[in-house]
Amino acid sequence: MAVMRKAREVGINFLDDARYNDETGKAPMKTGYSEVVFGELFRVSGWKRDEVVLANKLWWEFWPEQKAAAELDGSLQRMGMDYIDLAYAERPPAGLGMEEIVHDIGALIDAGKLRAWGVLNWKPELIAEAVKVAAAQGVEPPCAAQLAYSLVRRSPVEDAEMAKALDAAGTSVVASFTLDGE
Amino acid sequence: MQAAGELRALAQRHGTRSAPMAIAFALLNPRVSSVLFGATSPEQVAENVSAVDVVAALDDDAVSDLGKIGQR
Repeated sequence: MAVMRKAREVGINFLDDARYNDETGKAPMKTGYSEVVFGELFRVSGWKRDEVVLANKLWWEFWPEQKAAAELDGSLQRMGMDYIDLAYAERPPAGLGMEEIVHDIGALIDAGKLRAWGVLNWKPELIAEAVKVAAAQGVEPPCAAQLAYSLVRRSPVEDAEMAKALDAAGTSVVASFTLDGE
Repeated sequence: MQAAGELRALAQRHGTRSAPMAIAFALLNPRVSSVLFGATSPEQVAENVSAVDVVAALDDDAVSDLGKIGQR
Protein backbone atom coordinates (compact mmCIF):
# COMPACT_ATOMS: atom_id res chain seq x y z
CA MET A 1 0.00 0.00 0.00
CA ALA A 2 2.90 2.33 0.79
CA VAL A 3 4.24 1.71 -2.70
CA MET A 4 0.86 2.46 -4.30
CA ARG A 5 0.46 5.64 -2.26
CA LYS A 6 3.96 6.81 -3.18
CA ALA A 7 3.33 6.10 -6.83
CA ARG A 8 0.20 8.25 -6.78
CA GLU A 9 2.03 10.96 -4.85
CA VAL A 10 4.84 11.25 -7.42
CA GLY A 11 2.41 11.47 -10.28
CA ILE A 12 2.40 8.01 -11.75
CA ASN A 13 -0.73 7.64 -13.89
CA PHE A 14 -0.22 4.35 -15.69
CA LEU A 15 -0.58 1.06 -13.85
CA ASP A 16 -0.01 -2.36 -15.36
CA ASP A 17 -1.79 -5.37 -13.87
CA ALA A 18 -1.85 -8.97 -14.95
CA ARG A 19 -3.32 -12.29 -13.92
CA TYR A 20 -0.73 -14.79 -12.80
CA ASN A 21 -1.13 -18.37 -11.69
CA ASP A 22 -0.52 -19.00 -8.03
CA GLU A 23 2.82 -20.69 -7.44
CA THR A 24 2.76 -20.56 -3.66
CA GLY A 25 -0.18 -22.83 -3.15
CA LYS A 26 -1.52 -20.31 -0.67
CA ALA A 27 -3.67 -18.00 -2.77
CA PRO A 28 -7.45 -18.20 -2.40
CA MET A 29 -7.76 -18.89 -6.11
CA LYS A 30 -5.61 -20.77 -8.59
CA THR A 31 -5.32 -17.89 -10.97
CA GLY A 32 -6.01 -14.21 -10.92
CA TYR A 33 -5.47 -13.47 -7.25
CA SER A 34 -2.98 -10.82 -8.33
CA GLU A 35 -5.88 -8.95 -9.91
CA VAL A 36 -7.95 -9.13 -6.76
CA VAL A 37 -5.07 -7.78 -4.70
CA PHE A 38 -4.41 -5.06 -7.26
CA GLY A 39 -8.02 -3.92 -7.16
CA GLU A 40 -8.08 -3.81 -3.37
CA LEU A 41 -4.77 -1.94 -3.16
CA PHE A 42 -5.91 0.45 -5.85
CA ARG A 43 -9.05 1.41 -3.98
CA VAL A 44 -7.48 1.59 -0.55
CA SER A 45 -4.57 3.77 -1.78
CA GLY A 46 -6.82 6.61 -2.83
CA TRP A 47 -6.59 6.36 -6.62
CA LYS A 48 -9.52 7.69 -8.57
CA ARG A 49 -10.41 5.50 -11.54
CA ASP A 50 -10.51 8.33 -14.05
CA GLU A 51 -7.11 9.77 -13.14
CA VAL A 52 -5.15 6.70 -14.12
CA VAL A 53 -4.63 4.46 -17.13
CA LEU A 54 -5.04 0.82 -16.19
CA ALA A 55 -3.60 -1.86 -18.40
CA ASN A 56 -4.05 -5.62 -18.31
CA LYS A 57 -3.44 -8.52 -20.62
CA LEU A 58 -5.32 -10.96 -22.78
CA TRP A 59 -3.27 -14.14 -22.42
CA TRP A 60 -5.51 -16.46 -24.49
CA GLU A 61 -4.63 -19.03 -21.83
CA PHE A 62 -7.92 -20.90 -22.07
CA TRP A 63 -8.69 -20.10 -25.71
CA PRO A 64 -10.75 -21.29 -27.56
CA GLU A 65 -13.05 -22.33 -24.71
CA GLN A 66 -12.54 -18.88 -23.22
CA LYS A 67 -12.52 -16.16 -25.83
CA ALA A 68 -11.49 -12.53 -25.38
CA ALA A 69 -14.79 -11.31 -23.90
CA ALA A 70 -14.91 -14.03 -21.25
CA GLU A 71 -11.26 -13.60 -20.37
CA LEU A 72 -11.65 -9.86 -19.97
CA ASP A 73 -14.84 -10.23 -17.94
CA GLY A 74 -12.97 -12.51 -15.57
CA SER A 75 -10.25 -9.92 -15.09
CA LEU A 76 -12.72 -7.07 -14.65
CA GLN A 77 -14.61 -9.05 -12.03
CA ARG A 78 -11.47 -9.92 -10.09
CA MET A 79 -10.14 -6.37 -10.31
CA GLY A 80 -13.51 -4.92 -9.36
CA MET A 81 -13.51 -2.62 -12.39
CA ASP A 82 -16.01 -1.79 -15.12
CA TYR A 83 -13.42 -1.19 -17.80
CA ILE A 84 -9.73 -1.37 -18.58
CA ASP A 85 -8.07 1.40 -20.53
CA LEU A 86 -5.60 -0.82 -22.35
CA ALA A 87 -5.37 -4.57 -22.85
CA TYR A 88 -2.22 -6.05 -24.37
CA ALA A 89 -2.87 -9.12 -26.50
CA GLU A 90 -0.29 -11.84 -25.90
CA ARG A 91 1.07 -13.70 -28.95
CA PRO A 92 -1.88 -15.69 -30.25
CA PRO A 93 -1.95 -19.48 -29.94
CA ALA A 94 -2.07 -21.65 -33.05
CA GLY A 95 -5.50 -21.39 -34.61
CA LEU A 96 -6.31 -17.91 -33.34
CA GLY A 97 -6.26 -15.69 -36.42
CA MET A 98 -5.90 -11.95 -36.65
CA GLU A 99 -9.44 -11.45 -37.97
CA GLU A 100 -10.88 -12.97 -34.80
CA ILE A 101 -8.49 -11.09 -32.51
CA VAL A 102 -9.28 -7.74 -34.06
CA HIS A 103 -13.01 -8.43 -34.29
CA ASP A 104 -13.33 -9.55 -30.67
CA ILE A 105 -11.23 -6.70 -29.34
CA GLY A 106 -13.19 -4.25 -31.47
CA ALA A 107 -16.39 -5.54 -29.90
CA LEU A 108 -14.98 -5.07 -26.40
CA ILE A 109 -14.04 -1.50 -27.24
CA ASP A 110 -17.54 -0.87 -28.60
CA ALA A 111 -18.98 -2.32 -25.41
CA GLY A 112 -16.92 0.11 -23.33
CA LYS A 113 -15.00 -2.59 -21.49
CA LEU A 114 -11.76 -1.59 -23.18
CA ARG A 115 -10.66 1.85 -24.32
CA ALA A 116 -7.74 0.69 -26.44
CA TRP A 117 -5.64 -2.32 -27.13
CA GLY A 118 -1.99 -3.18 -27.51
CA VAL A 119 0.24 -6.13 -28.26
CA LEU A 120 2.63 -8.02 -26.04
CA ASN A 121 5.99 -9.22 -27.40
CA TRP A 122 4.69 -9.48 -30.94
CA LYS A 123 7.07 -9.70 -33.86
CA PRO A 124 6.96 -6.89 -36.42
CA GLU A 125 5.24 -9.04 -39.06
CA LEU A 126 2.36 -9.73 -36.68
CA ILE A 127 2.07 -6.08 -35.74
CA ALA A 128 1.95 -5.15 -39.43
CA GLU A 129 -0.80 -7.71 -39.99
CA ALA A 130 -2.77 -6.37 -37.03
CA VAL A 131 -2.60 -2.84 -38.42
CA LYS A 132 -3.86 -4.03 -41.83
CA VAL A 133 -6.70 -6.14 -40.42
CA ALA A 134 -7.74 -3.40 -38.00
CA ALA A 135 -7.94 -0.88 -40.83
CA ALA A 136 -10.04 -3.27 -42.88
CA GLN A 137 -12.44 -3.90 -39.99
CA GLY A 138 -12.66 -0.28 -38.90
CA VAL A 139 -11.15 -1.04 -35.53
CA GLU A 140 -8.46 1.14 -33.94
CA PRO A 141 -4.97 -0.27 -34.49
CA PRO A 142 -2.94 -1.30 -31.45
CA CYS A 143 -1.80 1.88 -29.72
CA ALA A 144 0.98 0.27 -27.74
CA ALA A 145 3.48 -2.54 -28.13
CA GLN A 146 4.89 -3.89 -24.87
CA LEU A 147 8.40 -5.01 -25.71
CA ALA A 148 11.50 -5.86 -23.74
CA TYR A 149 13.91 -2.94 -24.05
CA SER A 150 17.02 -2.14 -22.08
CA LEU A 151 20.67 -1.25 -22.40
CA VAL A 152 21.47 -4.94 -22.77
CA ARG A 153 18.57 -5.78 -25.06
CA ARG A 154 18.08 -3.32 -27.88
CA SER A 155 16.79 -5.26 -30.83
CA PRO A 156 13.12 -5.81 -29.96
CA VAL A 157 12.63 -2.09 -30.36
CA GLU A 158 15.52 -0.90 -32.51
CA ASP A 159 15.38 -3.41 -35.36
CA ALA A 160 14.43 -1.71 -38.63
CA GLU A 161 11.47 -4.01 -39.24
CA MET A 162 10.01 -3.20 -35.84
CA ALA A 163 10.50 0.52 -36.37
CA LYS A 164 8.63 0.28 -39.65
CA ALA A 165 5.77 -1.76 -38.16
CA LEU A 166 5.38 0.66 -35.25
CA ASP A 167 5.50 3.75 -37.41
CA ALA A 168 2.83 2.41 -39.77
CA ALA A 169 0.16 2.92 -37.10
CA GLY A 170 1.86 5.29 -34.73
CA THR A 171 2.08 2.48 -32.19
CA SER A 172 4.31 3.46 -29.31
CA VAL A 173 6.45 1.22 -27.16
CA VAL A 174 5.85 0.43 -23.53
CA ALA A 175 9.24 -0.88 -22.46
CA SER A 176 9.50 -3.88 -20.18
CA PHE A 177 12.51 -5.54 -18.51
CA THR A 178 14.29 -2.20 -18.66
CA LEU A 179 16.13 -2.87 -15.40
CA ASP A 180 17.39 -6.26 -16.58
CA GLY A 181 21.08 -6.74 -16.05
CA GLU A 182 21.29 -4.12 -13.31
CA MET B 1 28.87 -7.90 -15.90
CA GLN B 2 30.69 -5.10 -17.68
CA ALA B 3 27.60 -3.17 -18.67
CA ALA B 4 26.48 -2.94 -15.04
CA GLY B 5 29.81 -1.42 -14.03
CA GLU B 6 29.75 1.09 -16.90
CA LEU B 7 26.18 2.02 -16.06
CA ARG B 8 26.99 2.58 -12.41
CA ALA B 9 29.99 4.74 -13.30
CA LEU B 10 28.03 6.87 -15.75
CA ALA B 11 25.15 7.24 -13.33
CA GLN B 12 27.50 8.39 -10.57
CA ARG B 13 29.14 10.92 -12.90
CA HIS B 14 25.70 12.43 -13.45
CA GLY B 15 24.60 12.41 -9.86
CA THR B 16 22.17 9.56 -10.12
CA ARG B 17 22.03 5.77 -9.75
CA SER B 18 21.91 2.81 -12.08
CA ALA B 19 18.17 2.14 -12.14
CA PRO B 20 17.01 5.66 -13.08
CA MET B 21 19.83 5.90 -15.63
CA ALA B 22 18.77 2.58 -17.16
CA ILE B 23 15.17 3.77 -17.34
CA ALA B 24 16.36 7.05 -18.85
CA PHE B 25 17.97 5.07 -21.66
CA ALA B 26 14.61 3.59 -22.64
CA LEU B 27 12.77 6.89 -22.22
CA LEU B 28 15.23 8.59 -24.56
CA ASN B 29 14.08 6.45 -27.48
CA PRO B 30 11.45 8.56 -29.23
CA ARG B 31 9.36 5.48 -29.98
CA VAL B 32 9.05 4.67 -26.28
CA SER B 33 6.15 6.36 -24.53
CA SER B 34 6.37 4.57 -21.18
CA VAL B 35 8.70 2.36 -19.22
CA LEU B 36 7.37 -0.31 -16.88
CA PHE B 37 8.95 -0.96 -13.56
CA GLY B 38 8.02 -2.78 -10.40
CA ALA B 39 8.79 -1.51 -6.96
CA THR B 40 8.80 -3.08 -3.55
CA SER B 41 9.37 0.10 -1.59
CA PRO B 42 8.23 3.72 -1.85
CA GLU B 43 11.88 4.75 -2.09
CA GLN B 44 12.28 2.61 -5.17
CA VAL B 45 9.27 4.27 -6.74
CA ALA B 46 10.73 7.73 -6.17
CA GLU B 47 14.18 6.67 -7.40
CA ASN B 48 12.83 5.15 -10.60
CA VAL B 49 10.57 8.10 -11.33
CA SER B 50 13.63 10.38 -11.09
CA ALA B 51 14.59 8.91 -14.48
CA VAL B 52 12.43 11.64 -15.97
CA ASP B 53 14.68 14.27 -14.36
CA VAL B 54 17.76 12.36 -15.51
CA VAL B 55 16.54 12.54 -19.10
CA ALA B 56 16.02 16.29 -18.80
CA ALA B 57 19.54 16.81 -17.45
CA LEU B 58 21.54 14.71 -19.91
CA ASP B 59 23.39 16.56 -22.63
CA ASP B 60 24.15 15.08 -26.05
CA ASP B 61 27.54 13.68 -24.97
CA ALA B 62 25.98 11.96 -21.97
CA VAL B 63 23.22 10.50 -24.12
CA SER B 64 25.87 9.20 -26.48
CA ASP B 65 27.85 7.68 -23.58
CA LEU B 66 24.70 6.06 -22.27
CA GLY B 67 23.94 4.52 -25.65
CA LYS B 68 27.37 2.92 -25.81
CA ILE B 69 26.90 0.88 -22.64
CA GLY B 70 26.69 -2.85 -23.28
CA GLN B 71 27.47 -2.35 -26.95
CA ARG B 72 31.12 -3.32 -27.07
